[in-house]
Amino acid sequence: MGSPCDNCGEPSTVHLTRIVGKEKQRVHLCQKCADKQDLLKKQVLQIHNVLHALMGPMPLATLSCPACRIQFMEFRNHGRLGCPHDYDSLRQGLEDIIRRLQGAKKHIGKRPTVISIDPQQNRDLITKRRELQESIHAEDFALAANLRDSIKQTMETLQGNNG
Amino acid sequence: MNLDFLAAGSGGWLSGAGPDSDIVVSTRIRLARNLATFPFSSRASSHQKAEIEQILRDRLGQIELKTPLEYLPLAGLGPLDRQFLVERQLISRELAGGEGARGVAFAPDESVSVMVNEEDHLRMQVMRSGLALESAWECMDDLDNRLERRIAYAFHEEFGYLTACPTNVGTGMRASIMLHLPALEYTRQSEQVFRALQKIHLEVRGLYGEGSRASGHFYQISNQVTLGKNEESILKDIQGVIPAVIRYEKDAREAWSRSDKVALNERIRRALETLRTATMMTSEEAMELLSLVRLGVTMGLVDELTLPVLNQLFIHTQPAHLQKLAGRALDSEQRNAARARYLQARLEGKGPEATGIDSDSTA
Repeated sequence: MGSPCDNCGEPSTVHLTRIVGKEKQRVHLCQKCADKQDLLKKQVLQIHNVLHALMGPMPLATLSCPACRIQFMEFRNHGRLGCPHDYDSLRQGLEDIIRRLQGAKKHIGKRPTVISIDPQQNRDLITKRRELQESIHAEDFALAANLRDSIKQTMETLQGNNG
Repeated sequence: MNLDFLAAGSGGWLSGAGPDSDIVVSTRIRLARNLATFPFSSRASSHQKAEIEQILRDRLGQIELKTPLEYLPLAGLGPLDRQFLVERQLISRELAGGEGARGVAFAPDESVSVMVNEEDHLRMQVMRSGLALESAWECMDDLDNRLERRIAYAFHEEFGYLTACPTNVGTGMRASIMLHLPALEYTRQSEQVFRALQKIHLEVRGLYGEGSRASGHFYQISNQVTLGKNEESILKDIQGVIPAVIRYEKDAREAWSRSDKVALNERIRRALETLRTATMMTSEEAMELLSLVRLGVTMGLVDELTLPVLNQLFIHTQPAHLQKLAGRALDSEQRNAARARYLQARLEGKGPEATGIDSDSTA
């Protein structure tokens, strides 16, 4: 058994070495007290920051779309995107590809005149459609029914707006 | 819908009319569009694809056009009918070979076709005979505007119309001109011309598009870039180079005729003779020979045939068309015999209906 927690006397599981000036201090804490002090979280956060600084921006392999869940590497392998929102969610990897393919970055042609576009709403609908499929797959029919109603409602409002 | 009635005819875009139609066969403009609130087709579940098809089929039925579109679901169609639609250029090979809910809406004169659930939710195309970019775009733009009032397209302030593949993003437009360039090919100058076109970001492909060989010396020239230029300037770029390509082909024909008229004439007459008398003929051979005869017709060396008939023969001698005309499935050997019989009959001046293509093919 190690030392008791410096704070409450319970058996300690977290052991830290703090260096203050030239003096070395040993700190022993139980999990509860460590959580309270947010010590571990701070440590994790710091490690993440260090790694990030060392490796540069997030590697493309970890890019994915929250709406359709396609991963950037999936797109790289098959050449097809998963949903319209990918142009934002995978942008970091796509920009370079688009520039090389097209030699340009910005659309300057025709644009829709009638439909008002709400990207947030579009993304939510694609997300809900995916969740609906997943809930059916998992046989969570209550959730599926909820999602279906919610999608239907949004679509009806959209169509109402569009005449 | 029974497709058999289509088999004996051909799309209006093959009529052989329009300026420079001796070299420019047809003009095609295609737009790719997607619904804003669905995943792209390749990631959509079968249920979602059915929903997409239902929505688009519904909207396509609502728009008012001079010639209304008729929707044909592909899911219930056999492989022969699907292949037939590919040969007809009404659908792509990708749509034919795909799965799940998908289909095509097209005008009876075949000047407009709209594919549903191809790589993109909507692939709309307008076809015209000869060089007619302006009128094709007018029609395409109008169809797009009418649909846009009923469908929320996936559109991005920066990237424009969003497509499943970034090669189409922006305008989503691919405009292509189909040309018949036998003299450039026979005189081995085609490579040189195509390289020059590629340098200015134009693409050159065969008769049936991506990855297909240039059979019958037909080539499609189209824009490579869809982003950073508006539709008008993309069309202008293509329009701008076509006269030069036509000029090169005409020069090659003249030079060939000047240097070796007897041999050229001989070659064309023999091609015609082979088409008239052969009892077996593969699709490739038919394309090659018909191409020579087409060259002969446009150069005034063959006067017993017209361009519209020849244009039609290129399509009618394709495998699925032959089987449709015969009214039954034929294996490849039977097709070669049927093809030869069909060509004989048509070159004797008979119409496509009275060709006796299905006389005993096992004999």
